[in-house]
Amino acid sequence: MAYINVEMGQLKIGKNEDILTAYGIGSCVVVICYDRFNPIAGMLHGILPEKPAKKNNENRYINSGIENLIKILLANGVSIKNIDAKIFGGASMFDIRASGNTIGERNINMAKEILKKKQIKIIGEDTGSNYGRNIEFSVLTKIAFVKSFAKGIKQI
Amino acid sequence: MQNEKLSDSQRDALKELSNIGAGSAATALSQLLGKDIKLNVPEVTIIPIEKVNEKIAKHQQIIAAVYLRIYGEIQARALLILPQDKIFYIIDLLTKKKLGTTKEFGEIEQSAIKEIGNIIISSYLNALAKFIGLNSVPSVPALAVDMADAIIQTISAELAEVGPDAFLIENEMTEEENDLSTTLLILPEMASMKKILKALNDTIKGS
Repeated sequence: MAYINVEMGQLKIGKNEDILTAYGIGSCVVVICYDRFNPIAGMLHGILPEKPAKKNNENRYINSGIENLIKILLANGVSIKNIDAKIFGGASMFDIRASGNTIGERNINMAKEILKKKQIKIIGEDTGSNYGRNIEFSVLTKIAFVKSFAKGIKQI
Repeated sequence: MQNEKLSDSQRDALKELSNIGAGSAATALSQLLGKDIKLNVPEVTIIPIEKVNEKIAKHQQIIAAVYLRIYGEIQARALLILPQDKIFYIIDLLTKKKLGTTKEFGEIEQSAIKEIGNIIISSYLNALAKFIGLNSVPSVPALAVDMADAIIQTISAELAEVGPDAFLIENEMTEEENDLSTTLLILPEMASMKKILKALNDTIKGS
């Protein structure tokens, strides 16, 4: 059993009793894709919504990051029709722009758009609002513990 | 561009500039809070934005951060980090209440902290104007109280149009035994950073 921490711009896979974690999430969006039946899951800690043509670090970006996440799960023997998702984050810590335009909101929208395109159902989410989050996801139980200063602990 | 890539002139000018800013911030705070605020020489560095979080290293600590935009001859963002455990104390001083009165962080208390942030940041902007002749004004401030990682990450991500480097100014301020140290981040847009660096160069050379 290992705690596997996923930093900004990273993508990691966990199996069996692993716990996938991401801390201090503000506008970043954490996308978790997991096998509905088997203890295997991947966590993407994405920073920006869309990968610019010239950039290479794909896991920084929600769109290319989710593509990678799915690719890796398939390579690990997971069937696409067995993949479910949970998404977290995308907060707007400071209300300095009109709604719909903050990085957090754009990250959430991109995540939902890509997952919808891949026909992956979002089973749970704790997104938006204005508070930071810490995520700990149990690959075995498929439950995410979402901790925040503002809201305490939620199980999603 | 890192500190090492600054010329000696620029480095000296930057030091002097932050001294002036810090001095006037301490004076303003002393007047506001009615207390004698002591100040150490501030430490100022230029670092890449992606290194900011590591340098500040408060991670899971809860911080109070005032955020505003800077307009004028300098286009930038500013983030002032205040010690969260001192917030109520500062508000008591500011509002001349008996120490220990403020216990909740409601709208009035939030306004008070935003104002303090505004004043400190403005002190630095005034120093910039006086010292290197670049005028600017701050926007209305916004406030967040949350994990340092989450706040700093969000600011860094928002900064598509801002340049890759930031000024990090660490102010050690004390009032009696209370540590009121603040950390100020100034994130200039690329063109503004060039302006500032050139002006720093010109200022020392011209004197």
